[in-house]
Amino acid sequence: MTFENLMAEAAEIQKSAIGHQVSNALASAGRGAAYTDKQITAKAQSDFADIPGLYEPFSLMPDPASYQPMIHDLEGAMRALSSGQGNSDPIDGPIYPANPTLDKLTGTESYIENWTGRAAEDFKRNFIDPFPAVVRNQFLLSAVLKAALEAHQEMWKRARTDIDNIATATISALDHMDDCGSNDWSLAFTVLGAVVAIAAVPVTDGASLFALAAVGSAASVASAVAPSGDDNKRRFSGESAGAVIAQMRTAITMLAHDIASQEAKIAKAMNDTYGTVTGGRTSFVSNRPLLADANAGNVKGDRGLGYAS
Amino acid sequence: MGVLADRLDSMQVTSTSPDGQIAGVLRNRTEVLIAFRPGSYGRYSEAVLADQLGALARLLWAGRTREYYAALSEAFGETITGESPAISERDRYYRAAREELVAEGRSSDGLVYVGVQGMRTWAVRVAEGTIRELDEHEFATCVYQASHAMIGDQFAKIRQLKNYCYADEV
Repeated sequence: MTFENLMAEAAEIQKSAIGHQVSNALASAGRGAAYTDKQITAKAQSDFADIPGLYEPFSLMPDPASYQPMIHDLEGAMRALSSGQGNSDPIDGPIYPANPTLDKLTGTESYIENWTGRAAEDFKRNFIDPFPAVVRNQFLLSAVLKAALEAHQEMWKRARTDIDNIATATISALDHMDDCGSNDWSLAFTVLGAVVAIAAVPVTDGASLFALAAVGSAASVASAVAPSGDDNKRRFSGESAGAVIAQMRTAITMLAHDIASQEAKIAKAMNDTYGTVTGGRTSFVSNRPLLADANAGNVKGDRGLGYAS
Repeated sequence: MGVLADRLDSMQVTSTSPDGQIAGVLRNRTEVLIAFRPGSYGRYSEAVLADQLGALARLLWAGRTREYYAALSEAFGETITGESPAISERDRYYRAAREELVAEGRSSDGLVYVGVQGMRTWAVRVAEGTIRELDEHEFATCVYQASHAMIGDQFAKIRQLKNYCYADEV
């Protein structure tokens, strides 16, 4: 079975559960039972009427593949922002070759040696000197955003696997519950390990270091920080159609909580990072040049173009 | 019906009696077919034949159990080689009661009886005079009927026992 067949599996579970409950009830009731076949069937249909609805929200989960264009865009941003210093992705390691265009700003100092006045000093102080740090911080911020998208992508990928496993195991449990052995089964909730918290990514404002909160996908981040395999297994059991479906409902509720908990990890890291960026905006974006707001009256003054010798 | 049900339905287990004279097949969950090595049927006494069939039943069930766990392993995606430990009082009660459960089946003419307690202790009885009265094909039909009835009885009683033991499960 695959995720693409999820709603077909839900229909199969519903049909199987109704069938088992009806045949068991008829066998138990025997001849002269107080209830008719019709009543027994109607009760079973009512007992399991919720099953397709339980699966429907999961069938509408985002397609992990839809994250790829956004991830690709951020990789493009990282390539453009790679200055050649510390140019490996701080989350998952690949190297981004330096973009030579970025060297051009630091090379402008020699062009403006003869430019004096307040504007010249401000230009050097506000633009040329912090430029490497701003570029580096934007590179890191892009990496953090890319990793968050990858974590979200991985979360949905695993959630698809998990809901499909719940459905498949439920079908098997219904198939198996009339056999002699105890009917128990375990399910791995792989989504629990999808999002990995990353040690804070250090950024600089030129004078001191501070940090961006980050998360990554367990698929691309070193496995040492991801939870081990059996930690996310849970055991279920049920010896009747009603009990098996009750266990299925429990598993679905658990999965919904697990997805929410993983998403909360991503949301927290992004909120923290947003706070860091807005609180230290000048470390990520160069100041607006005063010249941008200059007018005919002041553009040639000390705070405008300054003086050329 | 799911993949596991399909696999359990299509499971086929073969074995041979300890004396090598009777081949047996268990298929479609409840059908047992036997065939004798040429000339062997007429040489049996009813008591010896019943002993050999009892041993064959044990071997078929052991083979069925192996296949059954292989099917479960595939269906649930993990290696399962036996029952997990009982975790609740009702699990323990169910398993103790299952050990005592007796399933029985008879051929339509009553000449062949197959019984089992706890799916461990097998008893096959062949009425005196059966070998003289029935040819080996007729006898094989009797074994089919008796074992089919016994397995059906087993599953029906297991369902009743589960209903009783796990009535408050939901």
